[in-house]
Amino acid sequence: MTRFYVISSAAVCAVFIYASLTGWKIIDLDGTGGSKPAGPGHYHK
Amino acid sequence: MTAVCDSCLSTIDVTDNNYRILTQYFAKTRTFTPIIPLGTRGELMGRRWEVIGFLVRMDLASSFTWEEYLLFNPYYGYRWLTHNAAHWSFVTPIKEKPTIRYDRRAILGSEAYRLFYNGRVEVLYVLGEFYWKVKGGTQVDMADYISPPKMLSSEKDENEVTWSLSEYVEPDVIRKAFKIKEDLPRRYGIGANQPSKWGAILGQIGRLWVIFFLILTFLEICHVVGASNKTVFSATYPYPGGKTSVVTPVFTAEKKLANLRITFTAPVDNNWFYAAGELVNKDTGEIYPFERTVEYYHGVDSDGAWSEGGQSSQLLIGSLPEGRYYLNFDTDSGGYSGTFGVTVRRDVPTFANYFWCLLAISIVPAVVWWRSRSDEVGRWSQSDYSPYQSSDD
Repeated sequence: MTRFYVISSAAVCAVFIYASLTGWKIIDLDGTGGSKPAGPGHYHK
Repeated sequence: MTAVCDSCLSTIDVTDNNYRILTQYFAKTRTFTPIIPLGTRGELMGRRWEVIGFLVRMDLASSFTWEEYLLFNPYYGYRWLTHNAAHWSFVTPIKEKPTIRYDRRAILGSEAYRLFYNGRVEVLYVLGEFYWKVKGGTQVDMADYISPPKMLSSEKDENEVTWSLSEYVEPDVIRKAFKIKEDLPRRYGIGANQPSKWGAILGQIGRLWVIFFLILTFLEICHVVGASNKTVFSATYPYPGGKTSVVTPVFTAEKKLANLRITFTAPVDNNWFYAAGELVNKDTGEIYPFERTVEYYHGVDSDGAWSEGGQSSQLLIGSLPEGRYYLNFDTDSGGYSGTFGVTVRRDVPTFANYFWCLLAISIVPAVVWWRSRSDEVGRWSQSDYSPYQSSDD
């Protein structure tokens, strides 16, 4: 388990470095799309 | 000194010249079969032992029973092997008396042991030779203090208090040591002093997590400091309201691959401004569609003043190749008119990747912590002194 953790975390660091260098969004929750007008009350109830 | 006949189950005082029978076993019909037969020899903890006695004890409060095997080596004396819910421990009598603290901990040397069991026990069944007078029905007060894989135990009768230190032994070790051919009973639950494999690696994984956290934080600082965050386009447009179309001048995005942030601003007040369109690569024709809304509302109600939204909205396009680009978008609003602004920045610092990576490196430690805690909760569920139970339980 410890070995797996070291390898996987090192891989995560490598992915982070790649993403930092290329501007890659590792997880793109909203993509390049976006929002449409929601109007008042969308958050405030 | 006593011996118990394994045929008639009579307890005999062997120091008496007449081999006086102390007691006929009080319940002959109630018998227990030792897993390790008396007379068996085996090597355990680096020494050779012979099983010379077997007894079964019962907690008077819960009627829970366990077995104890008396081991003997002519050079090293007596030891015990306890068999409790299929968990085995090698027990060594000790002369030191631990210090009992107010918080139910026993201190022996530099190690603290936590109270796990305290109760009155009775000998239920006895077989073989013993170095003291023992017979069915003998009662003592017992206490167990644990620090897995070790356990400190005290036995108190009318005359004395004796202490012993035991260490957890894997069933497979017992089976090999005494060459037991049959399968040993399957363990259920986690033993009082059984080491948790998850607990054993938790500290190691925790230290590794700290190391990776520091590495990622250092890399994030380098990323933030090293990002050029260059404004490649910025303009403010008059907005008469309603639907309009805008095409920006061409701007250049440098650096082979980098992100690009587009920010729309509009001083809306209880209103919204909307832009939908695409970022277009002038050379390749590749498009990146987007929609953004700037909306800001505020007011006062029975709870007091409130506000939501803001007067700007941005989107981030990741891994955008270098090239010449322009924006082509339509606008709309909920009655707003005035101005709106567009700013485009290249190679901006971001924090999302950092947090996603922190989350990724935290999954394994979280699972290990959870499994370790489950083991401890399971272990202490057998105790009246569980630190995982509130006093209301």
